Amino acid sequence: MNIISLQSYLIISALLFSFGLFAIITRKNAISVLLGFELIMNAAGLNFAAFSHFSDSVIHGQVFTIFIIALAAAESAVILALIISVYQKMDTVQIDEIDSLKG
Amino acid sequence: METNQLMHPWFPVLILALPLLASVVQLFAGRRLPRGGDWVSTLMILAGFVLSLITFADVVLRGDPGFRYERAFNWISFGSVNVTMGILVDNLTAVMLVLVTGISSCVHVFSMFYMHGDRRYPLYFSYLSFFCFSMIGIVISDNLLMTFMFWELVGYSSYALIGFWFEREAAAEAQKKAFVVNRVGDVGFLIGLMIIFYVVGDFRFGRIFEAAANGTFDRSIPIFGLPLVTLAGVGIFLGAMGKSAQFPFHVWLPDAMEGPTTASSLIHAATMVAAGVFLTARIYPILTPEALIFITYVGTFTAFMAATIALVQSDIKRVLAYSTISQLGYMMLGLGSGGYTAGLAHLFTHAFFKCLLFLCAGSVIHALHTQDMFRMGGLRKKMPVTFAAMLMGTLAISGVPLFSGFFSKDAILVQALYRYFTEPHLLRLLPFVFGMGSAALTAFYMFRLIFLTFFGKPRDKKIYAHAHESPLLATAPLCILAVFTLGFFWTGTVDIPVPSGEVKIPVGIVKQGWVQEMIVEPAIAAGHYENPSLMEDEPAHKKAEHLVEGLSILSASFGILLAWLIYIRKAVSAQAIRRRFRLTVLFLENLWYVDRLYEIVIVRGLHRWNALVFQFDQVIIDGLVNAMGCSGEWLSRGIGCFDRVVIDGAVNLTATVSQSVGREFSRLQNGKIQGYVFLGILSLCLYILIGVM
Amino acid sequence: MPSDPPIKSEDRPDRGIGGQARSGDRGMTGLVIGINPLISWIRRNIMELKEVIFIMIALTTVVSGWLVVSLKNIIHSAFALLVTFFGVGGLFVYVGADFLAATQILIYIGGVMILVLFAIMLSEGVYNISLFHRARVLPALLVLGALPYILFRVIMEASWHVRSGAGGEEVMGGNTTQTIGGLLLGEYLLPFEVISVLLLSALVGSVVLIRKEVGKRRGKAA
Repeated sequence: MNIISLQSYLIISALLFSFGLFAIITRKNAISVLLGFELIMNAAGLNFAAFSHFSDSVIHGQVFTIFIIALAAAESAVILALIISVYQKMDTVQIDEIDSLKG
Repeated sequence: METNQLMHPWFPVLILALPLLASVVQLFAGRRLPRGGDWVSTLMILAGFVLSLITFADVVLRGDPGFRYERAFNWISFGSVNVTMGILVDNLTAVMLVLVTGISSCVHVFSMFYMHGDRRYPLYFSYLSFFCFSMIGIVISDNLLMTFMFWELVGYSSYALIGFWFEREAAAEAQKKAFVVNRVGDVGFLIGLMIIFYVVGDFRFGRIFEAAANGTFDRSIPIFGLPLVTLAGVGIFLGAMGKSAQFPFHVWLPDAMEGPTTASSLIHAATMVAAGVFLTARIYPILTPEALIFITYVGTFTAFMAATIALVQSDIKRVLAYSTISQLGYMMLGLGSGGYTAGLAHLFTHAFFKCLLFLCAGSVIHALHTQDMFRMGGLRKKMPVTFAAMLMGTLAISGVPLFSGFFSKDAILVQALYRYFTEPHLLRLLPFVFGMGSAALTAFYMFRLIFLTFFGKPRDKKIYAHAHESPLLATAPLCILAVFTLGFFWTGTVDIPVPSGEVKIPVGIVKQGWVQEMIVEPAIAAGHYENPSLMEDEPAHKKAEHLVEGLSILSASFGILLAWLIYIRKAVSAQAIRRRFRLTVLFLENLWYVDRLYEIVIVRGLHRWNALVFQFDQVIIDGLVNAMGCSGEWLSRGIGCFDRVVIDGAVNLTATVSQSVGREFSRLQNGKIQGYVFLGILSLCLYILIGVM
Repeated sequence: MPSDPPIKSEDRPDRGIGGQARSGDRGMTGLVIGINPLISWIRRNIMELKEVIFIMIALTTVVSGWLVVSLKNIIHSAFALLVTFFGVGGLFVYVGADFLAATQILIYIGGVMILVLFAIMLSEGVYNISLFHRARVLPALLVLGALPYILFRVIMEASWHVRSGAGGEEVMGGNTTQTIGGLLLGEYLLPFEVISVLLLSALVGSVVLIRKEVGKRRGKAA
């Protein structure tokens, strides 16, 4: 099969998504979690772009990818603000120690 | 005058009510009345006597043996059953009324002398009047239920009077004994009553006799091979046995002498004990030959036994008591042999002379303050009137000719012998032989009494010195009663001329002795049970009459002679006889061991039974209760354990499980976000996997 | 292997000496300019240049992605993320989304990364060595072995409806920037406006979040 094909893009995005998920679940630092989250968003965007290229409506997926990028940016801003305020309150960025919502 | 109508229909009820009124008044107001109110009772009973006389004249003198006046009213009705109350007046009733009220009047008057100064003087008269009320109730009753009610009331009156001086232990015991023994007889009465009611459905004598004539009784099923009618008759006779002190229910009468002598004279001599005989006569039409045989033998045995016991008594009242029992046995003998008239005649005559004898004894006791004959003696000089009256009574009871007792006793013996002649059978011979023997014994012990009391040297000088004749209040009744011991009153004929229009007395001509003509068993009994008294066999009868007359005179003479020899002439030593017949004397003195037997078997047996039952109650019943309590306790403990272990355990388990599960699951909610995310991803993967598969 | 000329850093623009990840701003340059004997050899022997470069970019992306996750030092993982962003941008180019590639680099690398770096520096925990949660690694690995596996199976075996003429043979003709602009203000006007509102609220919100804490901190310090 062709190296450059839809499947390859999809595989790449799948891998990136898995890595991002792994980071979210596993890493202790909150900012690491954010990094993982960014990975996921990127993977999603890549997915959209790849699909848009290989589908009949060539451009529309790209528009969506733009939205994703904007979204990710906004989200990361808010998350970071949160992390910083949490850090100021609890003096730690380790997610394990932020468990006041413990049931 | 129409048949079966009374001239004064209200008299019987009035005669019944007057003593009751007196009794109630005495009970509540006696103390406040002057003289304790004895005149209230006496006046009432005298009024009753007058009314009875008028009724007697009305009924008996009209000369109709089959006269029968009945009035009844509905008392209770439930379902198809009607229970009535009412009165029955026939010849027998009229005579009994006169007898009861007349003798009662004499006793009332005598009591005013005898009981004078007693602590409970008014109460005594209340009891006395109440007794009269009850006795009259029995006499005029027209149905068995009413008879039974008054029967019990009479028993109560007896109880009250026997235990009048209840502070004495002996009196208290005696009154209980009397009532209890009476009650035992009443069981038989009740059984008979129930049988009759079951078969006939009504209590009235008239209906019962009709049913007997119709053969209703024959249709019923026999029990133990005896027809119901026999059982009914025997049952009711058992009640009569209790009241009339027949063997084995005689044990209360001697002990009843603990009561005042005047009470004894009325109740335990003349009237109450006669109620049994009266009842037997009343139910005569339903007595089968088997029942009659039973009655005969009970009477015979009683007569003989009591006579023998009387031979060895030293208490004057006891002699008279046993004499009463003996004479009552005679009456039963007479009735049982078919001598309806004979038995009742002896009842009438005995009432008078026995009452007389008791009152005389009372007079003697009052004078000497002792009842022991062996402390008396030679009283005839000090108490002549009493002596004369008592002598007349004794002559009557001994069956000396020209006295009332001769005629009635002879009538009975004639009947007994006549039955033997018509049915030559050992069964029929024995009553006659023993009856004759008892007559001889009677003569002996009565004259023994007279000789010991009034003749010879006084044995106790001190009390002899104090003795004096009783006042008129006492001697008057004695004399009146003594008159009636003469024979002609009973055998005389009555010949009343037809009156003019204004005087409304029913008349009739009575040919033969009025008792013999008027007091006849009800015609309805004729033929149904082959009543032997109606079997007319004139030659045999005449033969019997002659034989008996001779024999009785002979036996009476023998008895009197023997007594004279022993106690006057002292030709034969009483002590020697005692020594010779030591065992017999012992047997007699211990009252044929009947009382002892009762005490051992019944009283002690009852005590032992009570102890046994008590043990049973203690051990078993209490044990049971305790066991139930214990088992209840164990059960509850077990259940509690079960509750604690199992149920609480289950509940606790549930709680513990929930807690642990919850605790485990709550660890999931540890506030670590990454964990949540992980779980979400995990679940998603699982879903996909499952979905794919 | 014939003797290779020593690899210079200019030849491998996205890797530093020794394989360290470097900022990927030379990637594009390398892509456009970089033709060297190795590449021509590969092109001659195996594939076209296009494909080689594609493979390289792809590998870069994936490897740096893994490095983001696995590196202990958070600054290091942040920079790995940077490289990943570059790689993804390059891939965007291959998909014919040139405007998108530019936007990606501008916003992600120029905006998000700066933010992240600032946040790392503002939270002192940067000096803590962030370890993995030991207990969670194994199950996470299990899951994250399964998830890619599933995805791979899906990707490989699904029949994708691909338009003819796709495959990277040609970059789409025409001006993507213009088309995208037109779409944004045309068909996707509403999402566009919504996104702008979102951005506004994110801006305000993050300021608010920070402000409060600052105020409080000041109160505490005083």
